[in-house]
Amino acid sequence: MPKSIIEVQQLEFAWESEQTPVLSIASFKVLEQERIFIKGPSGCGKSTLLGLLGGVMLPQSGEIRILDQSLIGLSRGDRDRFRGDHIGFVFQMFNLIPYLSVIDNVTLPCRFSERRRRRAAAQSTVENEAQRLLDHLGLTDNTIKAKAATDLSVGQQQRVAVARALIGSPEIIIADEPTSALDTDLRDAFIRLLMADCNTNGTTLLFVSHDGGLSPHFDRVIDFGHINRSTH
Amino acid sequence: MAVLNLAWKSLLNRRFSALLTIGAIALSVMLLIGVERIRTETRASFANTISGTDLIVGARSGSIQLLLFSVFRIGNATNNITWESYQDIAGHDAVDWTVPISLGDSHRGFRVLGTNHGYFEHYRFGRKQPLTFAQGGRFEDVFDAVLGAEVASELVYRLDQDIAIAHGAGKVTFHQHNDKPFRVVGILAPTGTPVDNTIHVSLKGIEAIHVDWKDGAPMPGTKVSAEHARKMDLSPKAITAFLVGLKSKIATFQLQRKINEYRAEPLLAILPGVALTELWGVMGVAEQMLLVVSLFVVLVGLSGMLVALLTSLNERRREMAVLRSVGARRHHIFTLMVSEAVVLTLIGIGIGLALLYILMIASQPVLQDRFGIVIALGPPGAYELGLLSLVLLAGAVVGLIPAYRAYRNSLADGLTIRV
Repeated sequence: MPKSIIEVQQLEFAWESEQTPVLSIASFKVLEQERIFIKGPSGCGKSTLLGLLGGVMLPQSGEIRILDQSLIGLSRGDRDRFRGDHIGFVFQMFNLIPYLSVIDNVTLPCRFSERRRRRAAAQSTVENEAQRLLDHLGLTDNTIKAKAATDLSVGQQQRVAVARALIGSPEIIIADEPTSALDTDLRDAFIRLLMADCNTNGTTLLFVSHDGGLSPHFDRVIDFGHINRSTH
Repeated sequence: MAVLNLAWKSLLNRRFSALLTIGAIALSVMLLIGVERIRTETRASFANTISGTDLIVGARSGSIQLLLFSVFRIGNATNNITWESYQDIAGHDAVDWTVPISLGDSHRGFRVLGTNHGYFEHYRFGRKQPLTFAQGGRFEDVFDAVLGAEVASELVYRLDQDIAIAHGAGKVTFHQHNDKPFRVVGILAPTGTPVDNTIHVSLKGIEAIHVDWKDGAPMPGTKVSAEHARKMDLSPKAITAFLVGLKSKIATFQLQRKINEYRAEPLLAILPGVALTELWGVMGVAEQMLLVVSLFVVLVGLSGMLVALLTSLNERRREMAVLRSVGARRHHIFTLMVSEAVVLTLIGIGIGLALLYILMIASQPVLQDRFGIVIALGPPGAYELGLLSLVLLAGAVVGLIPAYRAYRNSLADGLTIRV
């Protein structure tokens, strides 16, 4: 039986200024190598959950375990390190650092995570691994790699962001509305590429979106409204 | 190290605002170190208004008063020294040389100083520089005069010109010694000291213009012509002060005490260096204020940087969220922001210093020609390095403010990217 990679129990989270929690989750589990689609309208607390899973914030009560490590007991710096080592993020847009080249954007996690730097350099060099990932994502054109990150189209930027999330093979990839800035054709192509890469690497994927049309691509669909008991 | 590279690339990306910030810091640093240089040089040149003289002797009064009238030509002596006392002290074993000074007359607002050839030989200023002649030479005749550089340039006097010397020191004087004009025989090179504003004549010349005067006024009916005066006994009866050079510095305090306890008349001997420092202490406040003002200018430059960094923060929120998502920790965000501030400050300091040195090299010939000031072009001294480190430290501290705000923002934003 596959192990669970993310486990959330009795989680309660409220912003400092407010009394009622925005998040209240009794139980939420993700198994290893699962592709999970979390569906919910914007502003329902999805992003807050991602912040908690990333260890940027801590819940007022409850438990979050990732890869058998409780985030609650870790210091702030250790949580930051843990996130950098084990989780790759893809955001809705503006994923790239404008002053870095495409390659530097892809290799960015390796500057902060020694683990991912070592894993990325296992075959040859970090830069070669970035090239390989970009090639794999269809960004084969060498002129693209030389371009400034801001000169790419939105679709290209999102694929660079995926390459960055994948580099150094983190166990989990969390994608927060990564396709909402893309049109339908690009969207499906993007999801296929993301899936293919997660399959090759055996990566667990948490895909958050309000767009239910994407759900057929995934192993399991979770309606965020069902796991969050908070009715703020 | 990874973050320093990021900081540098981020600055390059915002190079226009970075350049403006650097410009402001560079100008303020240039001003700060420039003021400090000028301060040091003025203090040094002030302390060296007279050098190589071991003692200044005058009638008993205050040491600053004696210094003011004998060196700076400001104010008047309360009393004279008799020629006998002067001769007595000048003959002392420890004394190497003496230069008598006789003051009290003026020409169009410039003081006239009676002295002898020893003045041109022994008077030193600055770094023991001797007086040099721009034109002509020493006075030889009773009615010869040697002008300071400023006198010659302001009154547009040339060699061989006749000038009338007035009694009293004011600009408007009632009694002009018109009957006995002096001839300009020499013009001194600029020294940047009160020597530039002085007209030098021989002691005999001073006596000659006063032979038909008594108690400070012309004696009625006894006009003596210049030719007649020349034949009279013009050996001086009194002088205002005199400079003393000793064979050995060891004897300085001993001779000073001896002069201060002189029995025949009340005298005062001062060490010029000590009195100059004392006087500088009075005037030093202005100079301190100048430094304080330029420190404030640096603060203004640094707050310009603060404004630039703070305004950039909003557009950088996304960047911070991305950095946090890939594992950047608190100290990474702090290092990123602070190192940007430090890099800006460092480049500002470098450019500011470069500008200052260019300016100093360019202005040095003019300063030396016009004011006789030699500005040393050496590397920054310990005090200046201290000031510069202070500026750098202040720059780093200023960088902490946007760093703290950026981190606070990143906590509030979590891992969402605010559009």
